[in-house]
Amino acid sequence: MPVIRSSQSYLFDLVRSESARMGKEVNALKEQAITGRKVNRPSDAPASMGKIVRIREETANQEIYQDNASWAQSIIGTVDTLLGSATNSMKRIQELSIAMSNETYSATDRAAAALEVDAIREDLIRLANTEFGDRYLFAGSSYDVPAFDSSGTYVGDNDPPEVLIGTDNWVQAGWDGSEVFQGNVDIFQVLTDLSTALVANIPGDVQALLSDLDAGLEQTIAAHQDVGWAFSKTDDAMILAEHLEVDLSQHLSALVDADPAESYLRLQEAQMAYSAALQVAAGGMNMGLFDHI
Amino acid sequence: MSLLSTLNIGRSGLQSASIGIETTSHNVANASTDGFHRRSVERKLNPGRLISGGARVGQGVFVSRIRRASDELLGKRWVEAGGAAAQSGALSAGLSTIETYFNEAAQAGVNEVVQNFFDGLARASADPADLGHRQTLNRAGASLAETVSRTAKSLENAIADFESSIDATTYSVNRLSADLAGVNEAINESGDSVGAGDMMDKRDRLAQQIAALTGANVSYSGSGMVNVYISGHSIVSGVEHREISTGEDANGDQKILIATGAGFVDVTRVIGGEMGGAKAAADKSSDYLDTLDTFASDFSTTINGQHASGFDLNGASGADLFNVTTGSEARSMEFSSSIYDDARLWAFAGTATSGVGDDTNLKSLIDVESTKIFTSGSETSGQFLASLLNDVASDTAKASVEASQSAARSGDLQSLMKSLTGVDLDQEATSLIEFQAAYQASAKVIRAADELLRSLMSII
Repeated sequence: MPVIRSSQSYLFDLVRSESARMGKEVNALKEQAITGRKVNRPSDAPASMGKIVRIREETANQEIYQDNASWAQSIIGTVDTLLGSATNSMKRIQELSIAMSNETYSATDRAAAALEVDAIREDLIRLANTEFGDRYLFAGSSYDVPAFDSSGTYVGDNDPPEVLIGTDNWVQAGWDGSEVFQGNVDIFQVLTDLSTALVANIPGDVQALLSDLDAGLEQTIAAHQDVGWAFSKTDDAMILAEHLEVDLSQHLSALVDADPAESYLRLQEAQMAYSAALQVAAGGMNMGLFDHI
Repeated sequence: MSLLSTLNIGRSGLQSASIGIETTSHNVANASTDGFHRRSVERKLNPGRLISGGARVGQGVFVSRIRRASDELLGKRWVEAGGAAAQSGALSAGLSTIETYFNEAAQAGVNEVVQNFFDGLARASADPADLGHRQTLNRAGASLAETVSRTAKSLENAIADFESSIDATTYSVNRLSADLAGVNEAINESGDSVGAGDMMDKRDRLAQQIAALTGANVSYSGSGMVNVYISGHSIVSGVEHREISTGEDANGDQKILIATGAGFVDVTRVIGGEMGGAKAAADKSSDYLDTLDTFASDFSTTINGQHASGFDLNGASGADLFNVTTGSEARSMEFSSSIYDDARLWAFAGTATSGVGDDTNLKSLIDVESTKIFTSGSETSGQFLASLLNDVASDTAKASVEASQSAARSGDLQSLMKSLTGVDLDQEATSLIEFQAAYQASAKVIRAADELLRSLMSII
């Protein structure tokens, strides 16, 4: 705009409007430097706001997935240990049964074996009623009550609970005890039958139960493998969520955070320009022909 | 040579210089007076005296008028640019306030609390029977309802504030219009369309103030009067003015009217200036409120419907999680007090007899987050709220850019106007020296004539 004359009010207006504009710029840069963010309100980045909101949501989700996966892993890890122990017990029963099906053992030996089988059966029922915190691990979704009663009857339900560990990614974090211990083979019943055969000292009956015991061992091993697969699923989910959280945080930071060095330098530059403009304005206002007449 | 004529010529020079000094002093005194236009002295030759031989001898000078520096076309553009700047400034200031209600800087806005609610559901999946998770969900649900309701109330209050400011402004506009009509009358009666400088300064200031409030256009009549129009509808015409007022349309929304002899003209959609900016900010706030109402209504309906499909830890069907009142859904949004008091009432199970850890309905509640229930089934709740935030952000940013641009345009015109019509002290100092010298010289002419007369008289 061509200025024809420098009238008094024009000069003061110019100083007023320019100092206000520069002061506003300095304040905006100060805000960035103090908060460390270049986006302090939605209108600072209208084009990116939708993306920022979505990234924040996704970042929060990854934290939840990690927490949930970690919690599920604690449960699954415990179940893994329990089923490892159950498998060992079943192996011991298998060894014992093979031995006791042999005619060379006496009635006394079989009576002692029957006592061991009874003890293992009780251990397995106790194991199947293991509580993690206040949660029974083999009771399905009815995990507020023990999975089996003292007679070995299942009182849980057939709906194992799941935990959300990723987008549409759920992992089992509790098991249906009737499926694990009483699926194709009712392990508790087989052990009861085995104990009866041993007490009765009938090697043929013991021999007849060997195939059920094999199936029972396979059933336990299969459940154990299932648990191992769930554990590995939580591992994968945690790694994915951790990576996503880092990536999303970096992406969010690029959108929202100010570069501290750049903010500081730009602030210094704006402050110097502002200060110089004020000095020039103040100096210019002191000059005038009236001082010389 | 006529000595008496020489005396008169000296006197005319003295008078002219004296008026020049007076005018310069007036300029210097008003150098910082808002709206003051510089005055200058226009002088003309007195008609010459015919002497023998047919020649004419000059008879001095007289002040023909005191000229007021002005540029009507530029002034008109400045007034109109001032109206546009005031409008975008008011809209920008209004929306900057509205933006804070969405509280995104503190990450405690509507988007955030809805996200927290779904986060709570996702966390509950770890142990649906756990009362700790359920109580966390209660807090997230209550926070969601409170935040939506608080945001809606803030928007309603803002709309009321904008409307009451428009209402109050009508009184200012009417007073200014009446004043301007009075000034027009004074200018008209003075019969001097150029010389009534002080009246014209006042006239321009008033027109400028009315334009800043209403975005009005101005036109100058030949007699020096200013007419003011809002989108072609006159509010000041010569010595007459028309009152503006506010009313309500059929929807209960505020409307702005100009009273004419035959009734009222609705200028709500065309008014500018601060009133137009406030009206636009109120309209935007109203749009945001409608969107928030839609969210509260559709979200409550969907989540309540899903909750009703499940069963709580007592085996009863899920009760409503959120309560809203039709017509003011967002404002009235509340979280169920019975569920808040008893977290067992969260209905996560699929059947009445399921185990405590049954998460069948919890999964369906979690799925609501990714279900496109808004905008004719094209947006999820998160996307819908992000769109609202995007609208707020882009409206505010756009208004801020427009406010800066129109303020710069108006500032440029103001600078040009002040450059043309304002007082340049150096120029006034020069004029003062010039008039002072002219005064001293004229005084010497009078003294010379006096001495000549004395010489003549002494001969007699």
